[in-house]
Amino acid sequence: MSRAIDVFSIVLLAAAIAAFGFGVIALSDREDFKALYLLIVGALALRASTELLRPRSGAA
Amino acid sequence: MTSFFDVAARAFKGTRTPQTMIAAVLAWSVTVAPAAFARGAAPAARLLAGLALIAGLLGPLFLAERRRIGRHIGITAFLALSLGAWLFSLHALHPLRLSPFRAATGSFAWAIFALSWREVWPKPAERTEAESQAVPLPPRASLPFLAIPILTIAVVGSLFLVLAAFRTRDVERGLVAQAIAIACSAAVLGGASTIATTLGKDRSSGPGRRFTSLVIRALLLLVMVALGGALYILFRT
Repeated sequence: MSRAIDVFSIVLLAAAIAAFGFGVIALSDREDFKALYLLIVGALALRASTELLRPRSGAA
Repeated sequence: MTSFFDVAARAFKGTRTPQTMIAAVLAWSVTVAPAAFARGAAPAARLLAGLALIAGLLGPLFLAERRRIGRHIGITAFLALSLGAWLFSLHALHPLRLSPFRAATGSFAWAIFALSWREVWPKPAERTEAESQAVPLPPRASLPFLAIPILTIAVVGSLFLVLAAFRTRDVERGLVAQAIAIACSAAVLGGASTIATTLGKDRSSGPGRRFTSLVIRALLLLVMVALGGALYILFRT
């Protein structure tokens, strides 16, 4: 289980980098909505990737 | 109840309060004042700039005793009021009117401001009882598996983000793209460092990793935003 979470976290990090990259490219192509969407998705993916590895004492 | 003047008098006994005040005045005088007090600037910009200076000087007075209030006044209010002053004096901040020298000194001044609000780690003698009773963390003999590849990908990805921002041709849009790219790069490097150092950590004595409610909430939010946005873009075009 722990190994699968590690892999999932790395996949989410890669997804975040890709989303940020496409977001910046969309911004330069004047596609503001697409840029905003991709940047938000990147930020959420990055947050989820780090939250996955953080131990929670006392949490369910 | 301790009066404001007593708190301020005690704050000036240390060296941090004057340092933080000087840093706030420096950042304000290099970046906020020239824009807010430029010819033709709106009165609201001047008012907000003045209030920002007051907040920047008041906050450090609470550094020693009421740190939370001090941080809210000295950082949050100072930044919000400075931002307001800039928004009311946008004509003075047009990229074509920005001087590279002032931009460089402004960045330096804000870096000093950020450092002046640093948190000093407690000395060994000041540690709490719970900290002193904690099991010492064993040092690792080697880096976790995949730590170097993950950080390499993050560094390359961060460089790509900064370079991708140079594709922007408009001057105003380019400035925003550069700022966003740098912020994203910093976030990617921070997240990758956390993942690289946390991977494969021995948690046999601790609570271990679980899909806690916080993790599930973060993943659900990601899926909902990703799917909702994708569907909206798909049906809009």
